[in-house]
Amino acid sequence: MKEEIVIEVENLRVDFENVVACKNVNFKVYKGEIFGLVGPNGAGKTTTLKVLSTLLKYTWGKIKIFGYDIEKDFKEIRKIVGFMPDFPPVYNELKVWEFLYLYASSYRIEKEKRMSRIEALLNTFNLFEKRNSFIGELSRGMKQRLILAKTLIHDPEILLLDEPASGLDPTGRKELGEMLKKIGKSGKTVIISSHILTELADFCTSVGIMEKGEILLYGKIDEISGIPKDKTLIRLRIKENIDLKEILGDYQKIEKIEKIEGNCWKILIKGDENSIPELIKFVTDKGISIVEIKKEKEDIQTIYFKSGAKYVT
Amino acid sequence: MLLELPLYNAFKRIQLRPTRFITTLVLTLFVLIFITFILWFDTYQKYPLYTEIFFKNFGRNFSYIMIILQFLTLTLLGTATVESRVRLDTTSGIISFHKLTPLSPHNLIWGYILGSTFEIYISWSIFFIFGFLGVPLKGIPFYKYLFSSFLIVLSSIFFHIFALMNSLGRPLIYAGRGSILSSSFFFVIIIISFFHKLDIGFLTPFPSLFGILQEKNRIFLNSYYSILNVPFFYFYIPPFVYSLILWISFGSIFYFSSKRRIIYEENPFFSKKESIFLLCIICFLVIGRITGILNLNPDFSFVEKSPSIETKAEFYIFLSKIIILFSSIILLLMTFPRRLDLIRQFIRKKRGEKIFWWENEASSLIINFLILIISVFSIFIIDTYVSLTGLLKSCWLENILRILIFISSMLFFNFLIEGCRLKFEKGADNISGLIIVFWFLLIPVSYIIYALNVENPKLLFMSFSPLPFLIFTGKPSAEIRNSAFLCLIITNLILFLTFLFWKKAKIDFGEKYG
Repeated sequence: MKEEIVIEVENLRVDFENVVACKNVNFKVYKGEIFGLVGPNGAGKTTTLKVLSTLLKYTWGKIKIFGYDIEKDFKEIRKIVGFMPDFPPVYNELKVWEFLYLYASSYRIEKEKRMSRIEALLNTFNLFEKRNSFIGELSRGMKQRLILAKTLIHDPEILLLDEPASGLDPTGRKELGEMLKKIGKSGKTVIISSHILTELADFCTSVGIMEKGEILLYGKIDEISGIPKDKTLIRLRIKENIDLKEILGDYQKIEKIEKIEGNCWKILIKGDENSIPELIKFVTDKGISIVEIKKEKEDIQTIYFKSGAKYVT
Repeated sequence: MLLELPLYNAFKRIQLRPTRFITTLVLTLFVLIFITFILWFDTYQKYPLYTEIFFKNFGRNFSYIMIILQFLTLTLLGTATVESRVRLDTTSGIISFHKLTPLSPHNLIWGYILGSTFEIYISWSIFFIFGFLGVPLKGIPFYKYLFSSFLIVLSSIFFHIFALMNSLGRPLIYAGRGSILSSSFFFVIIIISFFHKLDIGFLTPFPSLFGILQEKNRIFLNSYYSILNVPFFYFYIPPFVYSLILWISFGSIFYFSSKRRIIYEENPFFSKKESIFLLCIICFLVIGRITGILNLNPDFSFVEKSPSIETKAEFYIFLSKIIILFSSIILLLMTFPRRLDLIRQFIRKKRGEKIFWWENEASSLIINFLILIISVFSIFIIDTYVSLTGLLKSCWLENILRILIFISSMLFFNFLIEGCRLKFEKGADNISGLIIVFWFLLIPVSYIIYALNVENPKLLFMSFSPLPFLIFTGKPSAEIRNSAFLCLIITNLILFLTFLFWKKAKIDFGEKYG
């Protein structure tokens, strides 16, 4: 089945007074994807997200969101996009529910439905008990969750999250990660930017590597990971300290084999997942004890360096 | 839906928190009591035994001080508040959240202007209400006080819009915290300019207030204090009319600039169109003033003695009409992009594309439309009645001109209805309706004051008509009646066509979104 393109960016260029923030940015995001925009600080991630959220005018290029031209139909786009900036801007003098109420009424949610919508979001983001607290009294993590709740208040089709985990402690990051996984499962399209690679590794289905205002590489993780579709990468840990390369030399389906560390090996075999039992049988028949076997996919970090990016933060 | 301004409600909530509200109230009352006491004490020191003089001076000074306090709170403090709120929101980035909502720019602008100054308005209301005490205490007359306060509100709105435009997209980190009060410095400049007789001083309500609050003076022109009047083209005009022209013309440009700039983060201060508009207005004002000064040769000692500068009622009516038309043209221009946008939406709908529509905004269409229909019908009925009673002068050319103007006015209002309807249909708010109400309220109020001022109760009925082109004193004649009938038929026809148009639009509306 053909996947629906939700966001299409062609030759995007954004000029500020003396700086070219983005140039020749091209990428596509499909419906239901969680697209990670990775790059160091100053790579142009925030600028790209701001342009996509219609907040920033671009110098040239062509951007379509759900078929809408971003320049002409920005009002329609604003109705289907939720944007979360890196630092949570809030009104500290408002109570938690009042803040959400402000946006519920701004997004023209019917009066009768506003409170139920707010309560549902407060429950989802574990903020229900804090509903009557002033925002100024909340921790950074809670504020971040509140903003995420606010971003979802009008049930947008697309979420643009700019460094959502910045400034959060490990617990806050974990919580936020779980929330994002939940959102991802609900079928929404998410673009999430970060300069911390591990932050995105768990839940991104596709990725775009950005540096100095340019997209170096983008696509689905499976596609750009370097593992061809008809091959499978396996991580194998054995008990014996032997040279597996020599033993598996006569196994015809082996494409590539290399030692990672100790008794752990990385093996690329022909065929899909169904080829794994056959390999296990071949190895055990040779009298080798398997401690652990796992289908591997290339992580964002490897992809990042493979893309030619030089600057890591 | 008429007052559904989410930002205003949120700011109101903040400012109505008990501690903050009570502090505002206590501070305001403290200032009030303190000033009253000082005034009473001062007057008592001067006139302890003369009751008549005591009350006269106390009442007058009390009214003056209440007017000054109104200016200080609403105009000065209010402007600084709007500026600081917008700058703070720009700095924190929360303004971007508001931009991303489907709220129209008008909604955001008025949300900021009215919301951030909510507590300022509370203080202002207290000063305003207490200021009425000066009336029974032989202070300034009731209508003069009311009109003065009204002018302060108008000037405040102008400065609030200016502050909003000035602060949009300018966070504190770039401009420095001191610049929160940049609008206040602007005030100082224009107040100084006023004392140096520069036109920029007319942006404050002071020139108008000086004219209005003079003893023996009327709100409109008079020969006693004509030094305060403004020579403009071939007439002397009262300072408040000149101030109104400045507020409306510059205020609308500032408003358009804010409206445009509140949508995006990066935008120039004035667009090309706005710059041209600004230039045109400046040219108009400069030419008007220079022509006025050259033609009228304002040798003030001579002017003061001359009764010939007593301008007739017709001139003020004509001037008011120009102001109405001017603001209506601005409204029409405002609706034009929306009209084009709607055409685009129609084309897309025909192609079968998905159109997003916020259905729950539909209710304000009725309010908006009702206001317009009532207004237009009122104009039509009253003006026709007046023309039929034959109060026109018997000059053919003049009559034809008047009829032409009348028809064009009616046509214009039809356009206005259509524009507002289209504007609303796109899902925008109903600010245009509010502006119209404002003008339909302001102008009649001016007429009432004029009628009271010239002590001519016959003129009071003028106040019911915002379009009193036909209200002139003169003898009735058969020709005039004929003209009036012709006028009646034509305007009826136009109204009927507008009605058909509206009906068709309603059907389209139902088909599209029903």
